[in-house]
Amino acid sequence: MDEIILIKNGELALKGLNRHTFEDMLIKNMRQRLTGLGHFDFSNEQSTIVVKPRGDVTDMDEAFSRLCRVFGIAGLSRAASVEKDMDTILKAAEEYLGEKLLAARTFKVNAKRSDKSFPLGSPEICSETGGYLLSKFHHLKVDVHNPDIIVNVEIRDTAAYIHGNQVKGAGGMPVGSSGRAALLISGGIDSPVAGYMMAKRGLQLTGIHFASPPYTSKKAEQKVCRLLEKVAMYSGRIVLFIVPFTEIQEQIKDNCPEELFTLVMRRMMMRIAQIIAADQNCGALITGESVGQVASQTMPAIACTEAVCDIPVFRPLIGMDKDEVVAISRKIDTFDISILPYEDCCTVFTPKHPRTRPTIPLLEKAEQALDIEPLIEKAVKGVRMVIIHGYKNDDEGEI
Amino acid sequence: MGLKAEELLEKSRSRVAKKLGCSPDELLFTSGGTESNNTALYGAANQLKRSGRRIVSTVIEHPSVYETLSRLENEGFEVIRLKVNGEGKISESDLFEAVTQDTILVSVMAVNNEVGSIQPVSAARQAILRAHSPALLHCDGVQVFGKMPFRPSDYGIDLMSVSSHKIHGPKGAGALYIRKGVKISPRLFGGEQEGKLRPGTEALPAIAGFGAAAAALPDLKAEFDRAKEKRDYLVEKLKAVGGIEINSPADALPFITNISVLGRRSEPMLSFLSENGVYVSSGSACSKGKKSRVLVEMGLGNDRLESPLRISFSRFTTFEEIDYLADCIAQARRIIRAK
Repeated sequence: MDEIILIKNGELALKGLNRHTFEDMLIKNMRQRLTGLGHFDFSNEQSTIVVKPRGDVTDMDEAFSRLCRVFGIAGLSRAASVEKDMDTILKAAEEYLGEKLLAARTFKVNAKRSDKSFPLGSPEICSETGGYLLSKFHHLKVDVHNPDIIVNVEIRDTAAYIHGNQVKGAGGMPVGSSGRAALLISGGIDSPVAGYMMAKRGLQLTGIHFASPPYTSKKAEQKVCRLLEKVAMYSGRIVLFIVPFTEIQEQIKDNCPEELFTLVMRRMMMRIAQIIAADQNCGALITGESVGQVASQTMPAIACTEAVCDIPVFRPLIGMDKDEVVAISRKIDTFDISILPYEDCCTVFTPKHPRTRPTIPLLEKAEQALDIEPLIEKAVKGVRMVIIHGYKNDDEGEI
Repeated sequence: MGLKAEELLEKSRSRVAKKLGCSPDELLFTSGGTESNNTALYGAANQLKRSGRRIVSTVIEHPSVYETLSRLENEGFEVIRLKVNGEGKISESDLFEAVTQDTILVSVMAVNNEVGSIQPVSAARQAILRAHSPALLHCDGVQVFGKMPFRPSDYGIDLMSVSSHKIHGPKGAGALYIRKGVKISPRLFGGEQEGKLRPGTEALPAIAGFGAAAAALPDLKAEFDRAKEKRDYLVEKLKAVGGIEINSPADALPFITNISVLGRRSEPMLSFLSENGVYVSSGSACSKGKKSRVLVEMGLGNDRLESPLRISFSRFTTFEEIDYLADCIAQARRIIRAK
């Protein structure tokens, strides 16, 4: 008996002639995500992708939990793969699902026969399997409407698969299928969630972080890396660009009216982000803004930031309440990291009374005091690149 | 092998005891200062709870004392925390007033961990005597141990906590001095080790290191005087930089100097200094908006509360290092914009 993982893809079935491209992308993403756990074979069998481990795979629990975070998967289950012989199938169902059957009170059997040369039809497979399990587990009752566990028996061309309840997948579309976009990430609660949400829609992420040493510390930078590691468990590898931002912030502080600090800063960030985005083939920017959350996120303020952008800015949290965002950040495990109390670039020189109804001419006037082009050029030149992986192998690192 | 381990354990105990001027059987090994403080306070309060509920301490204790006492407060004890003056010291008269006949525990640190102010521990003993109280006297001695001559028996201390890593020993070991004849209730159960007060297999590697570090301590009086010279040198240098207030009192333990670089918040200062190989702290857990309880209690103004740096010397700190520190602070002051 071999254990395999069955993958049901979600929206992919809708994609018509592009389906194969999407499936190939999904398989590539899964393969990448399983790196370090051994070799796996992937095959496409009638709307299901079958993931078969080779002999060197020892940790199927980890493999399964990683695949639960791959976008483009609607549901997945671990299954036993056995010879297409009814006796073998019955024994395998008893053995492989034994613990789950012991914990359940009611069950039903679903059978699917795509190999029509198999001697029994689906109803016969159901009744035979059901009868056998009832004879082995006396506490079980059949409930076809609302069973605790569904015993699935699938007769395929090459083998029979036996599995219990399907687990819900991460949903969405395979990362990369919608192209690439650049996520502006500060270290707060919102931006990692925004990244997660857009990756779910198939965007591959590039990270951009603005660092202002010594006002912001190495720890703040580490925090951003740790946040992106969590996001990368869903989105796959993320290339992070760290932009030196100190000089720009000091220039803003020294030369611009205090009530506009934050907005001038955000406009500078957007300008720099677009240069990096263009260089990295990113078709859009992603931010964690939500209307009215803070002074720089009122509608007039967003209009002022938007005004310097030539590419779309995706703001997936735009209509969400803070508690909704927090709920997602807890789900993806970024919340506890986000609330670590390190200063980030957005809080370095916060004005006491920021202007909530700024206008574009007002900002353009404030920016005349800055030498914008050289400042941006210098910042872009100083960019550092860090590659973020969602999973580290235990044997990496010093100890 | 077991015998050898036992031998090494007892040798380490004698070594630490010798530096505390106590007998080895008055010492209990723990995992560090926090555990020693918890064991002492919980153990003493529970031992004496039938004689009274009143505990006297100070507002500037280390969190491992401060928060343990808060916990005891929740459990029904009455905790009096004595205020400090602008120099970070409690007053003797407050002590005499606070310690009553039904007081069961007095906990006063020897030296404050953030500003180095030295507390009148011997007055605490006198206060207990004068009130005819059954109280035990606990002293958090983590900062004082190995920095100046300080024998618990000279101060009438019943329980005193010390830590290994504060005297260059390994992390993960500490000790609690329990004066002969003093009984406290255990908090951990399940073994015969350490007089049943600290059951569990002893962390011998760390304890042996603690013993070795204690044995390597130099003549503390001479070291104390040298530290004073270094501290005076530092203060002079910082005065030359300008814009710096010294938060530590003039008669503080010279190994700890707390300063405020006015107008420069701690976080960027710390990050700039650490980039340049200078490791100081902001005193309390460095977090946004959280001000040091000790400095607040000393009544310092907002400008000083926002910008503290806690500089600590070891006996190995050199004058060249102090020069470098002062240069770095001066440079940081120039580079970092005032908020």
